[in-house]
Amino acid sequence: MTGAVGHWSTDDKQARILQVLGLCKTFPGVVALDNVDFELRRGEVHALLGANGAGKSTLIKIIAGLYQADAGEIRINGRHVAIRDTQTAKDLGICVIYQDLALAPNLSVAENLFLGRELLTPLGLIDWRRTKAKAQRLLDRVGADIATEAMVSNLSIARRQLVEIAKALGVDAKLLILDEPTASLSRGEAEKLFALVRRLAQSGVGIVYVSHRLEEIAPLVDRVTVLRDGKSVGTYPVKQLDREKIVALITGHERIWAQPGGKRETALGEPLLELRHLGRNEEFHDISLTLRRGEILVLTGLVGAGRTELLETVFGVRIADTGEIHVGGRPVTLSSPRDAIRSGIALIPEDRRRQGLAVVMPVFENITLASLARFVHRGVLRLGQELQHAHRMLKALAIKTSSPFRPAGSLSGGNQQKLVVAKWLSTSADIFLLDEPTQGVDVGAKEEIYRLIRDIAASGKGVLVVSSDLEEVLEIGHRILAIHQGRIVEEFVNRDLEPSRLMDAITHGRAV
Amino acid sequence: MTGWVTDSTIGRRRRSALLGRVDPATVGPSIALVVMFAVFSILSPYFLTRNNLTNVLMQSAPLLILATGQTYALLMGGLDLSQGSIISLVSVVTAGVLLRHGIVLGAVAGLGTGFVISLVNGLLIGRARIQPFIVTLGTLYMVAGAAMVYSGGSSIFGLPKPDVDYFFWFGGGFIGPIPVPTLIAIALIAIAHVILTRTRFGRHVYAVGGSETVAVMSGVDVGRVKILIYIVSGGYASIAGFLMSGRVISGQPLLGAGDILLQSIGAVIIGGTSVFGGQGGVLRTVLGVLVVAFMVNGLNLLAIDTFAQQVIVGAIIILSVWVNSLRRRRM
Repeated sequence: MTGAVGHWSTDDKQARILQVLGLCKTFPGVVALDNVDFELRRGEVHALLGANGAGKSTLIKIIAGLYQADAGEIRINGRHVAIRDTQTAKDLGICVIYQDLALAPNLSVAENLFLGRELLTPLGLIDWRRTKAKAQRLLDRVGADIATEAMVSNLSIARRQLVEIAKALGVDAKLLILDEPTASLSRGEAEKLFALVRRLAQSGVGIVYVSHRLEEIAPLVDRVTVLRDGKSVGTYPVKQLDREKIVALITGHERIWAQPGGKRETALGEPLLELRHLGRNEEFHDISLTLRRGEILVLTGLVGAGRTELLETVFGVRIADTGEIHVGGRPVTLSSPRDAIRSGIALIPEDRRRQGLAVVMPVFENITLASLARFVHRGVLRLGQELQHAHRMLKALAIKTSSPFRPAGSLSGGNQQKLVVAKWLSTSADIFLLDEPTQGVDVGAKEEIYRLIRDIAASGKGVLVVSSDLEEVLEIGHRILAIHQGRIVEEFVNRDLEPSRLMDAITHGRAV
Repeated sequence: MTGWVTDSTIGRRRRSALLGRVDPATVGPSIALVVMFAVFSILSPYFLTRNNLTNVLMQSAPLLILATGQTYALLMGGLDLSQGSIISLVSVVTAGVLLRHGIVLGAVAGLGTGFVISLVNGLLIGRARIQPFIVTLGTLYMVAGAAMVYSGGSSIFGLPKPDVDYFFWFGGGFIGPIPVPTLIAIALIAIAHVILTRTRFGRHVYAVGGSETVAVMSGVDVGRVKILIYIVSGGYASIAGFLMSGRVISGQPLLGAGDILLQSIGAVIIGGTSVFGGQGGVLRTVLGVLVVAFMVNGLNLLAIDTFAQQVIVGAIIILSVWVNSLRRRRM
């Protein structure tokens, strides 16, 4: 079975490696997948596209056995299967290569390739000679020039990825899922990876390719499936699509055209935050921007473009190598979050369960954690005042919880996010940094968070949002800065802005 | 879907929440305590006598103080292994200085030494950012060794009158029917509880234990919080050492070398404070200590030997953590 892909007739049951039918998955407060169909043919490279939170990773995790679907069916080679855990998935020949690679960094390449299925001598000891020889053969197959005894921790990301793919070949993977494989690769490295992906497909492996970089899709893949808000919006041969059509499918074009930007209701005030030529080694370079009172400034770019790093630098978590930060017109040195908070800066982080909320602590204690001094009189906390304030915030932000004494971790994603916002609204901060504010948040709560962001700006504070969700960027931003490989490449005023121009700036580092 | 908290319910809830909120983790140990009281008072006629109860309270006072301090360390997700050694060193330094310079200077020197060690623990953990386990394991050895060096390896007896009587009063005296060490323990527990529940530092202890990253990102001075935590746990150990030493009116270089340290950690865990930090409290620890103290006392009265007692106490530690994890899973 060789030759060009896409020639399989649809009734050729043999050709379908994977069939997903009517898959549903709900998390507390979020419908992650809603009746999703998906299929993968032998020898096909199939792109899975969608905005953040569209359900791609949930779908992958169900196929990989990490999550269990609530409803729906999965068929492998036409046969119904129940993928109860990751081991079942592996036994079925399903291999996922995640963005954060799953290799043991302190072991050698050969050890990693045979981890869990070590080759043994008759005495039960590890057969190093056979291990090395077989490891070499696997590395040759992926065209990797890596020593088998090299320590994984010493390898570049690109090479680790090759080791992962070699490992998948070692277990005879029939179905390979690549999750944003080029996110941290250089152009040259990415080209090599594409060649390998094509070779693997030709040898009969089915490949699901997840990426945000649309320019990679057309030359590499055969078909495209787009997810939006947990639903499949269709599967198309890549030849029938152009970039505009893909963007429209991903973002749900009707909304963007119905609501062109330029929602500048408030007059802008004095500059609150000014970054001058800010840079930090490999993460971002020469970033200059000004955030004014009443403004929502959005920074958008691909994963790995240096956005989170920039926000964390402004919040004092990381230290800039070059450049200056000015707050209220004066230069400041921010060497810790404490410094930043004292300068009136608040960060609402992307990873809210790790950085934003102490999930075991009660809701009300999370709300007041950054502003406790307000509730202290003569060294004693006034719990009554504290609770009163917490109730006020819960009400003002419409945070749904049965009691302020519940642990914060028991709330749904959207309510947790609002809780983090409540925490910072309790302080006297007037510079709000938000990193992917609606990631993992359901559609209804998204709208509420947008309204909240607008309210914050309207009250005379400045809001700097980082987002890779195009729809969101166009929805809330007064001004939009496109960031590409750590540099600001284009500034847009959000008025009659065409999504494709933004998309081009983000993916190519220039506007057309 | 959870409901709204309406305005009319807020006031009521707040009041009931502040006054009568029952900590669900205390239910288990409380039931255990009641059952123990019932069983032991049936099996032994001496158990429910005033003499016996007074005795248990007197004997458990140092452990109460020790475990109260230890609670702070566990709440931040750490632990303090040096408490036992601090007891020993405070004991010999207090007695050694008391011998020549009287009770006041003895107390100042002894407690001061304990405070300095606590501060060193705190600085190594909070500023040098070394794991609490490693730091306090190190000071456990160093301080135990220092106690032996200072005392030459032998007990310090023959303390002068009247100072020795004051010394004993702290560790074994009475005010009315109540033992002095018990009163001191109650006062220290109350202070520790108020600090934990009613001050910014106390809230920060929970925040650091709940998630250090979140605490840092919320502007909490995590290093300072850790230093203060180890000053509390070591400072409380110093006071416990002073009382224990007074009770035996001598300086003992091995006074804290027994299993009192493990009892202290065990009691905190039995009380229901999470070893992962962020959840628990001093009142839970008090219950934990009482469970251990009355269990040991009851078994003594039933003439069950100490080795069998160890088996039982160990089993209680595991059982209580297991029960707690079941409760948490249900939530």
